[in-house]
Amino acid sequence: MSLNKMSLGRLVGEQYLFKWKAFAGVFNSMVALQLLAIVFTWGGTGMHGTSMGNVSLWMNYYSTDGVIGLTLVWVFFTSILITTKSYRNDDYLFITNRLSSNLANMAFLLSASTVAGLTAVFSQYLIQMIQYLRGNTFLTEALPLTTGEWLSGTAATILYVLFIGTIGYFIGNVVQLHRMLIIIVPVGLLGFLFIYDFNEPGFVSLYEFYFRETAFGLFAVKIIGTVFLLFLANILVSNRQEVRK
Amino acid sequence: MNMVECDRLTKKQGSVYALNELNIQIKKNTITGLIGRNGAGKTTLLKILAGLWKPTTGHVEVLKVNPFNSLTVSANVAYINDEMDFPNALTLSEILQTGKRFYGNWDSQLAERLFKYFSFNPNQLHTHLSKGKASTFNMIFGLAARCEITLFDEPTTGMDASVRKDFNRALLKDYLAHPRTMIISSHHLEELEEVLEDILVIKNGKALLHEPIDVIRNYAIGLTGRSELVRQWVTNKQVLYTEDVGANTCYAVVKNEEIDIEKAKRLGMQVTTVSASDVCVYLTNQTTGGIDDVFK
Repeated sequence: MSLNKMSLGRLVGEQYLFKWKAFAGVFNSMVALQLLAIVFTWGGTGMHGTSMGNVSLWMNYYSTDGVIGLTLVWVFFTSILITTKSYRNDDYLFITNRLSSNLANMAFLLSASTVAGLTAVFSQYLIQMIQYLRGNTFLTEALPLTTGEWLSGTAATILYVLFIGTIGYFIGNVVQLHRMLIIIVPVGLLGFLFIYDFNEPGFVSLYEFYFRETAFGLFAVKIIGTVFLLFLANILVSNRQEVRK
Repeated sequence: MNMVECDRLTKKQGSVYALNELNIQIKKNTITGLIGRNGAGKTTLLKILAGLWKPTTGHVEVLKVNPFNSLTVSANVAYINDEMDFPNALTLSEILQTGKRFYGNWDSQLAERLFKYFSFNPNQLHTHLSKGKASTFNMIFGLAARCEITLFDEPTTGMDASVRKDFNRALLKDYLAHPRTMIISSHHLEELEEVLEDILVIKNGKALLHEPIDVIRNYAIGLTGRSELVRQWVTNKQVLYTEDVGANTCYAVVKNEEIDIEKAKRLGMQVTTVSASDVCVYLTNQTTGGIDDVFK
């Protein structure tokens, strides 16, 4: 019998296609969460009222921030989910090694982030439509974004989703290293949220580094660079892992 | 040519040695039965050979390379066990189509025919299969993948007697048509005896015996007779098993060497053959007595 030869590139391609099928369920939860967030915008995401003499002024804000926020939460948990035993073992039913499995997962995360980022951005049109039907025509009459603004906004959203997804994927892989970490990592993270002073200069500069960057090109380089480093760390972390336990 | 080589292979799990300095060689195109009791190390050995687990110490080679994390080994070794959980997003027929995309030597025709023969529903999900049905489906997957090395870890779990028979025949026929190396683990040799060529008996993580099945069939003989006579006769011989079979009568299984069968018969002892499956049971027993000794 001849040996079955499979190049890494072809294998990763097959695994990627397989993942679109095997992980299809994750998009159901994405749609559900995004629709939920859209419903929350029904009466506006912010309100402001003032009156001077006999003139009173009411302002309603409508934004896709909620949709994007829930999308980030979704991608975080989804990317942890795909590192768990039953999802991870899917690859080992067929041909794989740890490297190809990681590459295919990252390719999937990249595509899932693109899909989720795009639907989150497009949710603004749904929100506008809902408001229009409610008789609130201001939103649709507002000045539309320029193509450049729209593109950079969309790309930035996708990059944020990818960024959070990669962090989730890394946390998931670290947790898989040892049974104890399943407790230690979430407790540590939660404890960190309570105890840590987020006004500390170190955190502030980290926050500003990623989230206050105004030049889109520089922002993209920072996010893509971080994603790449985290991805390398993933390969190192999972390369010695035993599977199908 | 050796497809599998293990040299002082050791796997420690916690404080227990699942494999303890195991040495084996498995030749190309043979069907080997991996026989051992529960916890003898069968699954551990197969998972290491499939490249899923890594050994603690010692050396292992599959297809001349270290199997752990090896793409060559993954592409040419099919490891089939009863824990295969295929994703619920795929139906049974989609799983087979995916198999075809991955495995270069995949035999669609065989897969389809077996699928029909065992009357599977193409749209069913793997999780909804009964234990026996799932084992049957996994077997189809393992045979159709047609890998150079196929590892079946207790493949007949949950199968009924007639499916088990069909499984053996399917395995044998496919093996004859497309020779390859197969290792089939079981704690019960009887149900597999007809298809196996070699037997590898492991006990406490060590290889106890690795011989062609014919050697195992003649490995031991049984002596039945008056207790004192039998006891005296078997001293200084390798006794595998003894049992009191009646008042003052005793049955002993001894290794078939330097036994003067004619003389034994003349002394009034009954000499019987011991089946390969019984030999394995006696060899893998922890003590020479049976469960009866516990209640003495």
